[in-house]
Amino acid sequence: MTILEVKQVSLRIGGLSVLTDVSFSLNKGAIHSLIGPNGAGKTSLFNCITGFYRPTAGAIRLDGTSLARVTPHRVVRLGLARTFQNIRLFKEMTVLENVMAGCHCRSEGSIVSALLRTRAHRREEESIREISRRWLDFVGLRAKEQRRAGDLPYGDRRRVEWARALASEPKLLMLDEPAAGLTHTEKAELIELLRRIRGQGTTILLIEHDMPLIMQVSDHVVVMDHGQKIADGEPAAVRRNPQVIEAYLGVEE
Amino acid sequence: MGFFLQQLMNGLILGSFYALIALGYTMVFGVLKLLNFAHGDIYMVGGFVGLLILKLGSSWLGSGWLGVVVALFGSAALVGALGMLIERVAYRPLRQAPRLSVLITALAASMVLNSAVLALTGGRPVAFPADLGFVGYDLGPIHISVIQMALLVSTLILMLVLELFVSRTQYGRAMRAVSYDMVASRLMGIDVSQIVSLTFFLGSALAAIGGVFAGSYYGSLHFFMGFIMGLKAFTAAVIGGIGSIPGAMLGGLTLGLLETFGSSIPFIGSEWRDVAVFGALIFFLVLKPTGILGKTMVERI
Repeated sequence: MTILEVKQVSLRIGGLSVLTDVSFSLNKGAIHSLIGPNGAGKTSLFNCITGFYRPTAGAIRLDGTSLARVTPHRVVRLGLARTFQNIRLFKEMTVLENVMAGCHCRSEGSIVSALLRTRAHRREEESIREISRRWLDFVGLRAKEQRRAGDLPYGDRRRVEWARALASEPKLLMLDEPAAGLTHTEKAELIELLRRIRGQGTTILLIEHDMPLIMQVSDHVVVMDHGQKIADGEPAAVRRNPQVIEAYLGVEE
Repeated sequence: MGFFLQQLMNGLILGSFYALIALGYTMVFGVLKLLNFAHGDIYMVGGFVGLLILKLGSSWLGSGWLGVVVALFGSAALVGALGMLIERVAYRPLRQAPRLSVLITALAASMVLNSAVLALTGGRPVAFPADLGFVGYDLGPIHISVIQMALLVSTLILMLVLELFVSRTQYGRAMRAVSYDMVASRLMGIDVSQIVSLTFFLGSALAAIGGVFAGSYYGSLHFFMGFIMGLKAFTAAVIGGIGSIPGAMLGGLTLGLLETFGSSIPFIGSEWRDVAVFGALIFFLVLKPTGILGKTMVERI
């Protein structure tokens, strides 16, 4: 079963070819990694998938629905959530409020009912709070729910971002360099967390540079270089691929 | 003592007007980082729309309290929608443009409203036909009329409701999220355009309520009344800490008191009160630009 299909996607910005004819598909319920040297086009591809950039050519489908012409906030509603390379929390809000903001796209209440603070609205607020607390439990931050998000140490801020993304109930969760800046212990916890997320049926797409982590956790790896896909497959096979070795290590003339 | 208390009362009344208008300034600034110069004119249009509703409805509702309350709600709804329209037409297409461009369209929007009402009224002051009588109560040495009480109490209630809305509901939370990081909010599934429209609706509706109150309280409206009000509400927002809702209330009341007491200093006539007001603006911008309740904003490099 395919959850995300990227088909012949190209992106040109100005006269520059950022992505050329990239195609791959991701299976439901697996952990996928997108790797490649700096400037390979990984983040650009991420931005195309989340609707932040419009591909010049090609198609992207999430669970069968085309993402062309879908605005970023609707992409989230269709079941795609992401985190950022440089953490972007709402620093002045509490940890719990950050996660509750992630639930926004799943709530049904109208603005009018919020203004009047009707009973239905208050009941929904209560259920959003419950759901958010469950996700904070999931990432192990429940005890710090009332802390200001900007005051937390780095590793905890990453967790808030994960909980906030999970709160939007994604089918596909995209994590941009989740291991960057984490300590050894925190990385081990990340691996365990990724497996628990997969365990509940959510597909994961990672952009990462940490090779040992990728090899340990991924079910499937897509390799990019110079805006093109150069390989994709199981981690062990990809590691032996001569083109991949060349991209990472260069080749002697 | 009696004089002091009476001036205190007058200052609070004036301050309530400033607070109602400052709220819209501060909310729009919080969410879009835009100084909406059309906001003072929104207040003026709010007064005129209220006047129109009062006149049209006077045969059924009379021009007493019932008529005024209907005018308040009607004007809030219509002018709230006008605020949304202005944002849609003059600000949203420039969301990606440099901040200065939007500031210029905001000035243009202000002139459009101003000139349209000038054309419609011929520039003459228009009497506001509310008939609320002069009933009042004597509380010790001070006299407070029913309309003054209504203004004070409604301002307090509106402020409370707004603060609850922003801090306790999902749309308020989304509003705060957008004000901290618009891009991240969008990528978290928040419909930023909807939240911005909501902000403009609420801010404009509050200004319209201020406008209808001004008509009922002063007895007349004038096309230019929004200009100076806009400047003073901006000053109030800065004094309180722009971007902060309680700050707008506090800044409004501070400014109202400053103005009434500033003009009652012996040998200094009331013509000097605007000097006191805008002197305070300079004072705050130079010495405490974040205002009384504002947070320090760190510019990211």
